[in-house]
Amino acid sequence: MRVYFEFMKKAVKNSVAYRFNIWARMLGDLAFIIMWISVWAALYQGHSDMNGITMQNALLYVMITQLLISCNHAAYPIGRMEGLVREGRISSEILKPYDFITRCIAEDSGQIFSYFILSGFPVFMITFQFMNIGLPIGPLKVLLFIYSALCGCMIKYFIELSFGLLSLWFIQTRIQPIFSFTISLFSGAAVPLWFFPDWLENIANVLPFKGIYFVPSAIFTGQLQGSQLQHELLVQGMWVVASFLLLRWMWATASKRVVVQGG
Amino acid sequence: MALIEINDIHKEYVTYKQEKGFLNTFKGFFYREKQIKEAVKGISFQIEKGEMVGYIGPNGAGKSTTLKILSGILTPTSGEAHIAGIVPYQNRKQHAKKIGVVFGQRTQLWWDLPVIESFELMRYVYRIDEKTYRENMEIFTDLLELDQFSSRPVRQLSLGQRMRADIALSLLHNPDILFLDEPTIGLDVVAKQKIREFIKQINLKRQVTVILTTHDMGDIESLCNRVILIDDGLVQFDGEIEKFRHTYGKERCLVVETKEPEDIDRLVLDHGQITKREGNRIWIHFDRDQVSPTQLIPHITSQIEVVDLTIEEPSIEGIVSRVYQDKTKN
Repeated sequence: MRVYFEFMKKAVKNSVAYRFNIWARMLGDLAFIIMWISVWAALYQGHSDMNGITMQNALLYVMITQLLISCNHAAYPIGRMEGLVREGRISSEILKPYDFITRCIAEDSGQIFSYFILSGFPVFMITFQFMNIGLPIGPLKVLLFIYSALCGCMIKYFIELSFGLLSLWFIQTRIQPIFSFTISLFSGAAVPLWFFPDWLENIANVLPFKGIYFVPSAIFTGQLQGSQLQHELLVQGMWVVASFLLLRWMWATASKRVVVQGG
Repeated sequence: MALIEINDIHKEYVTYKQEKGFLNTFKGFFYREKQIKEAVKGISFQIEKGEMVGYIGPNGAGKSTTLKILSGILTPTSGEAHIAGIVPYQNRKQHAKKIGVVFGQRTQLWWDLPVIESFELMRYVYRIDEKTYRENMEIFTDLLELDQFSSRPVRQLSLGQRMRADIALSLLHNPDILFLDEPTIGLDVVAKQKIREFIKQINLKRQVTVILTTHDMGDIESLCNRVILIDDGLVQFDGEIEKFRHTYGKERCLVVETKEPEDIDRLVLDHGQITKREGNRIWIHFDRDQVSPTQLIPHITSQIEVVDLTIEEPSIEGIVSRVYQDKTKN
């Protein structure tokens, strides 16, 4: 286990190697939050609520989702896999006496952690203070939110890394654009599922992606409660297990058929 | 039993034919013609503990494929490989602890972190105990002057320093076997010397078996006592370096300096060929099997007045380039 912890530490060190990178990230995070707040504020002009969602709730949703997005985007497993395959470095990974998947998870969680501390969280706190919106949930719900956000993070990561492994079959894939679009639509990253037309919401409900941003953010805004909350957390937990099994299965198959590029 | 034993290894790659032309590109989307390329066509050899073997051959001969099979990355289509009793591609992790691998064109170091961080990390990856770690770091500092650049980020290192760090890193866990794929590629003369000296020392002190592919025959000459030449997926030669020279290096070169440059025009040879002429000096290449120098020299001195004579042994570089060229001609 120690080795994976060391990978996590190295990733933290690595992500602060370029200080400019951190500043650029903070500015980016801030710009996105401000942009989305402005968009929703404009949409709500003259209305106190839409579909039963108050403007305050919508703004809070946007802010917390942006924090989660900032953390989730700190890791880029598809790009990592494509790079490893393209440059042939996957071969030395296979030769190391550790579990490759666990090592990826360790390294990327280190990166996510450092960006959360250095950029996502401070930016969120600044805007949260500035917007002067009170927290609608109690401490227990906050814990549930954190749990749900972590589950969401795992779902996204496991699915993305599984997709990344496809680059071992198709060496040039460029699947990233389709993939990001699907995720950002169905996860509720741009528009909360509350505002989806019924048919689209039905699709979103059977996909794993809403567990990434929508479920934790809905908990945070206090919209998910009671049996519905229990149901969503159960479904989310099932998707965590399912996506992890998918990842494991993909890697077991993939590592068997590694053909390293280059003579 | 030898440390490394491979027996009749074959490796086929399946590729798909890419046809030229605009329409064919679309055709290829629906239907692609399968092509099987046999990169290795039945290779066998044995290597004993402590040997340093140069594994040479032109580009695309099958060197890297063999190395990848030996290191456990690739599974052969048929044939067997045993390294210290283990089948590398079946027990990858177990095998991995006993080998060190350096691919000269790729680094295993963390690009943005100081060199020492990568070493610290490998210490945990291979579970190296404190004492071994410290001892090894001392050796690397002694032989490779690792301390001069260990606190610098890898991206700021020169290629020679990076290569030194990469080789040291691959030896940190005291492997029995070291696979080096072009370890001196792109390095200057001094950096090459340092790396060769280090590999030699490690081999002497620790009995590490070294298998080295390279296109620099200087590496072979200063390090290896044995060469395996592979081409077209087959072993063409396997033996001591002297035997290699003897088998392929039949050609010698006689450099003759005459008193008068015009004398050269009068010279008639029954054997050998004048390959170069510069002022009053000529270079005569001859086949050692057809004519011996003791026959050739009197033949020349009887015709013209000679001031100086030297016989040049063929360099490994020269021999290899001729062997490769002959192959491509066939």
